[in-house]
Amino acid sequence: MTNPRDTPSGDSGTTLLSTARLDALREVANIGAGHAATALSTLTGTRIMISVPMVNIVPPGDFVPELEPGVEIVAVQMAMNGDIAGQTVFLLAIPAGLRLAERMLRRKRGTSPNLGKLEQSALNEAGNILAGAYLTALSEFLDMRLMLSPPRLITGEAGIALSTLGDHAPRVESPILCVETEFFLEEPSESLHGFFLLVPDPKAFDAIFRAVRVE
Amino acid sequence: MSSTVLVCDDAVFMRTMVSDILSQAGFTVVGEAENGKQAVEKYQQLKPDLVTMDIIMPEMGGIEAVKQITQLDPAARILMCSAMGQQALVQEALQAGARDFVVKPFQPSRVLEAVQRVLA
Repeated sequence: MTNPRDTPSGDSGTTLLSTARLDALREVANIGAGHAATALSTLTGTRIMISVPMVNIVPPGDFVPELEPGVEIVAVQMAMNGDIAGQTVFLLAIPAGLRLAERMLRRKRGTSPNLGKLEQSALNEAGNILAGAYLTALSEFLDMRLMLSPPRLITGEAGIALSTLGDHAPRVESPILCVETEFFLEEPSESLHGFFLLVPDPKAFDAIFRAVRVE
Repeated sequence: MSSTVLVCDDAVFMRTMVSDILSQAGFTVVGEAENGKQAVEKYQQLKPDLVTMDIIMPEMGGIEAVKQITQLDPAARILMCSAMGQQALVQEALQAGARDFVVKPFQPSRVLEAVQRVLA
């Protein structure tokens, strides 16, 4: 999976949002990541840390092709409603998803070769926790009420999987808030790489921009 | 004889986790339900000493299930398992007849403490 920051993204990021505002959103993402790490550590009984190497606003047309062709992903999608509508997607390459599911299930590495019902349910719960933590931090920062629907799991080749998101499929007219999310796990040590995407409805994105009051 | 428990949650991951915690502590998990409707049906069949109940579930949520179970058996002992930020719903569940609650994600010790309080 390639990283959106490695690719020239035209009108993304800097022209859509000032550096100071992106810094503010990065700080919000860090707070959310901290809460999610605490919750996941409690759930798994091992220490999990989450860092946010990159936060950016990317046109969705830019994001999807940056996933290497043929990469199989697992994505947890949740509808977002409240003061702004849209959806959140937490996605990982399948091998990373399996590792995370094993941690959630307190199983040894390599004991879950396939995404069975239990592994899928564990990833839904991880996605639920992560999205909930990010959205809670964002809703406090924006002073908005944001709620999530129950999670839905999607698997498949990256482009196809993202296109199955229906009416909320990432579209060119709707920019995405992309939070690169790195998990550091202990006992045994390993790191897992994924993305958390906030895909607001086009109108909702204007509301976010207005609410990010940092100049 | 160990106390019997019915575990109700729409997520198989959470049902497995709660069942494991309780089994390892010596309780007997007699059944699992994936929504409130199933929980009401299985409560009548299995007559467990305790029910652990999620709040948000498809078909029938945990609060409605608590109302129906306590109507069938006013002495029913139900422990709510809620996610963070659901305090208002927890309050409603307690008013409907639930005995106590734990907040997800939980540590095994917290679940067992709450179960012991409810069964005391």
